[in-house]
Amino acid sequence: MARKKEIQKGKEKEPKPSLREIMTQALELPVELSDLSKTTLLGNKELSIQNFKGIIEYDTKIIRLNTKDFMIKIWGENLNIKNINDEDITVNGKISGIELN
Amino acid sequence: MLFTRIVDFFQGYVVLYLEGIHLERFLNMAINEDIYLWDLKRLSETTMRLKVSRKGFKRLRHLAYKTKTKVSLCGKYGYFRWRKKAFARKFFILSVLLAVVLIAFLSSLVLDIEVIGNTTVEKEVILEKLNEINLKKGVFRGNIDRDKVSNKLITDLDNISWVGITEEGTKVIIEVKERRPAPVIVPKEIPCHIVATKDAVIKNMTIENGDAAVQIGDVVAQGQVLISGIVTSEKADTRYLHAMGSVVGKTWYEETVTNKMFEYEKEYTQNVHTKRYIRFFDYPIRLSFSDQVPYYNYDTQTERKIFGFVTWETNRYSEYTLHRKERGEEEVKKQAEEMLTENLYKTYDREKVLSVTFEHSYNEAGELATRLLAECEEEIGEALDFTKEMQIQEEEHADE
Repeated sequence: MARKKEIQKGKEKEPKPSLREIMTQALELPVELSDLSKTTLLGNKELSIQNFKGIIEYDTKIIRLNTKDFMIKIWGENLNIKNINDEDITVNGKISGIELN
Repeated sequence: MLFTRIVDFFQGYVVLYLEGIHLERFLNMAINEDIYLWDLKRLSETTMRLKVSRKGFKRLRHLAYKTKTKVSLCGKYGYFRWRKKAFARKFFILSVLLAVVLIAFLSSLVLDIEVIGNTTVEKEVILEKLNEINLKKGVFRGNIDRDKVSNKLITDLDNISWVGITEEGTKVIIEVKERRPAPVIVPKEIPCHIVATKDAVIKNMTIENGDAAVQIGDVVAQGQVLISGIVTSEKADTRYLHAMGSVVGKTWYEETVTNKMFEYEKEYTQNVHTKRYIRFFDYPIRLSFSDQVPYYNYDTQTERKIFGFVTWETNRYSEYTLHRKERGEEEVKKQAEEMLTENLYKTYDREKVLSVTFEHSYNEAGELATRLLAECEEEIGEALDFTKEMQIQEEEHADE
């Protein structure tokens, strides 16, 4: 009995995958079609994020973005946005760190 | 993304200078409206610079109002600006375009035709023949069919045995080689004999100047003197004349051809393979997958459509199989006789031919050999200058 409860608790703690995620994985569709954001870092000079939701803060030393499940914080120096549109953003400059939470 | 940037450049973009306290909010609203921004640079806590397409800029204005952001234009770029200036100079642009088109068009025409190598045939005659097959100044360069041109000149003009056609830009150079050398004409002041051009039997003689050296019915050899320019008489001294006259003799013409008793006949299967090419200034770009034709025996048929310097070429390859077909003896004999007769009449006119005989025989290889023997009458007189010979003789006598 106790064991069953533990397993159930374990299951509850895991977040349920969304339908979109299930479909993407099952059909092996490209990741871009799911609603996960994709971050590509080129050296420390350029960072591109696909599938983000919005900008929270934009400064030359720190940029904060919002994605579906979490927030991305980028800090560095001379940070500029190379281009930005509905779903993608490319940040360039001297990037020191990225934090996801 | 790059593609949209190119498009935006063509359609024009602006550089904006933003000032406000809710710049991030402004950005979020902009991207939600699907406006593409690039080259963002944060200048201070309240100012920012960015680039946006002209269309996007128009939609930004009300967002700026909502977020209380001050927007000022830093610069306008793009094709549209150039176009505005260009329209002020409409005619200049138009004439530049026209000049380019005109040059391209003119380069694809034939502007000059040069004829070299002709000594007996007049240049005008050759140009007239070329005109008949549509090779003249102003025709498209791509339309020249070299085989057709050389065939036309060789068949129509007797003296021409070879034709070469080269193109140097817009100039077409026609080089001809002639068959018979120009006849040697001895000037009237110089004494000469009339000699025989080939072996013959004398049929007719008409003497205008000189002494006859042979009689009607005589058999003469090539080079033999027919009318002499040296006239001796008892009463006067030896005179040296320029012999003139016409000597008609009976000559022989002989030719043999061999023909095989079978032939290979083409039987076309239904298979046709097509390949297409585009040519830019004679350089072909293959539009089919490979360069190989999948048949062993095939006929090629080419169709060309020419637009200035661009040519659309379609090649059709029709497959055929060869069948060995035995030919009837009568048929082969008849064909051989016809061919020999045709050759005969190329050299001699019909009236000149007195008689024609054929001899057929089989050789060791089983082929039919046909021999044509014809008797013709023709002018056999030719002037021969004997002064040089006489000079040499005199010198020899002087030595003695």
